[in-house]
Amino acid sequence: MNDARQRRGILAKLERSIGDPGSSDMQEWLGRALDIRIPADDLRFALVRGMERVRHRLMSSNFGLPEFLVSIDSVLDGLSLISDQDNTAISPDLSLVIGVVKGDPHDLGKNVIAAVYKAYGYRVIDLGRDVSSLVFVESVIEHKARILALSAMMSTTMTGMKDIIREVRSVCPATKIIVGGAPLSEVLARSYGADSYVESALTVIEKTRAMLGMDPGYSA
Amino acid sequence: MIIPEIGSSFWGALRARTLEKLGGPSLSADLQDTLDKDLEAMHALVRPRVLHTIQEGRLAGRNIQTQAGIIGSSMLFRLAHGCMGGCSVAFMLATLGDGFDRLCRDRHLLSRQLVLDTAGSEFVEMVADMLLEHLESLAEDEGKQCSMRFSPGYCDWDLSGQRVIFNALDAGSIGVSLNSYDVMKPAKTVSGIALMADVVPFKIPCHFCPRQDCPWRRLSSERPIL
Repeated sequence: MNDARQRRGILAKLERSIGDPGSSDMQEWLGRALDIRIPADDLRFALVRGMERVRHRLMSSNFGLPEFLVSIDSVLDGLSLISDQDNTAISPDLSLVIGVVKGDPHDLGKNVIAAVYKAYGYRVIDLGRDVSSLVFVESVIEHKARILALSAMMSTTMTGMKDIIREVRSVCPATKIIVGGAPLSEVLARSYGADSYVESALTVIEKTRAMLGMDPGYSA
Repeated sequence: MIIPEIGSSFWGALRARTLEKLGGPSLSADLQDTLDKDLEAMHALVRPRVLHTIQEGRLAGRNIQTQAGIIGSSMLFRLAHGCMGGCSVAFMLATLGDGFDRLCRDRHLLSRQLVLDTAGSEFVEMVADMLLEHLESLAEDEGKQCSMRFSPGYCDWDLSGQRVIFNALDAGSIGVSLNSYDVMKPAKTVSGIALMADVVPFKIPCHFCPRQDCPWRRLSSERPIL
């Protein structure tokens, strides 16, 4: 078998391994790929293509988030193994600050969204939960963030987004702001001044790319 | 304090509720296996605790005044305003305790975190429901009725309402604390109140609320009473 064919075969196997229970297949094919020195970017794109395949399958069926997270876990595991060999990110310029607004302790949704962004090659600065407006503003400035992602799970805390958005806009008008969380809606998000609203981890990448005016491709 | 009785039927119901939240029977066998292991671990490590007390409630301005403090929610005020025969406020806390938080620290994969977190949320909600049933039976013994339960941070009751509940209850006795941002620890803890009166015509304030698309709306298609 010639080298190019062998590489294509391994990349295809790697792509198909995403979404299977556990990461054993992914680790095996990634190990083989690293052994024959397939470039890191090719490996990352194979992982992301695999994740996209899973995401599209799940979007057209009745089950979604838990299985999508299995593929996210697998991709993050793979990206970590690749980074041990080559630590250049896919798109280091696409930096994103994410956090849960002040007063809100619910961070699982934010963790899921942060993981999706990481898996798709975004540089994620995760501020955690219960984050004040000042910390959001300082972080956006410090990291020259192109995107600010805000999460709130309570009707009483989501209103805090309005002030955060206003303050970030006043100092970093080019930063795009996307919001999400159970009590929000597209209408509320727009009324708060957000550029976009996302209701599912399965659609966050498409929404983000549309917000940035990018093609709806699969990577950052 | 009452220690809730958790029998075998409880675990079956908890599994069914958690599975439903995670997508039903279509959830992969691997994740269903994860859920079963989590339920076993919770069975071994989690000891739920509950606490309640009942205080007289008085309408003051647009709020409900109790000995523990003011419940500042116009929606709950309207609910109390409709009550007949005097109005009491039952303060309640239900927690899974530190055991559940310790379990969470061992989960590093997001998919596993989601399964455990969902099971924990359903678990504490079921314990809070059991506490409400207990309060309903107490009310019934006195010929009274009971509303559903409400928590600070939802509807128009600000999260700072936690302080009133914590004034009313010795939360430390069941290992629950409140930080300076009114967030409770352990993580899987539910606080709330229920109204008690001779007649409670509306059990929920959704009747008065115009927000049809609220994710926590407990009425599906009823028109709001404005």
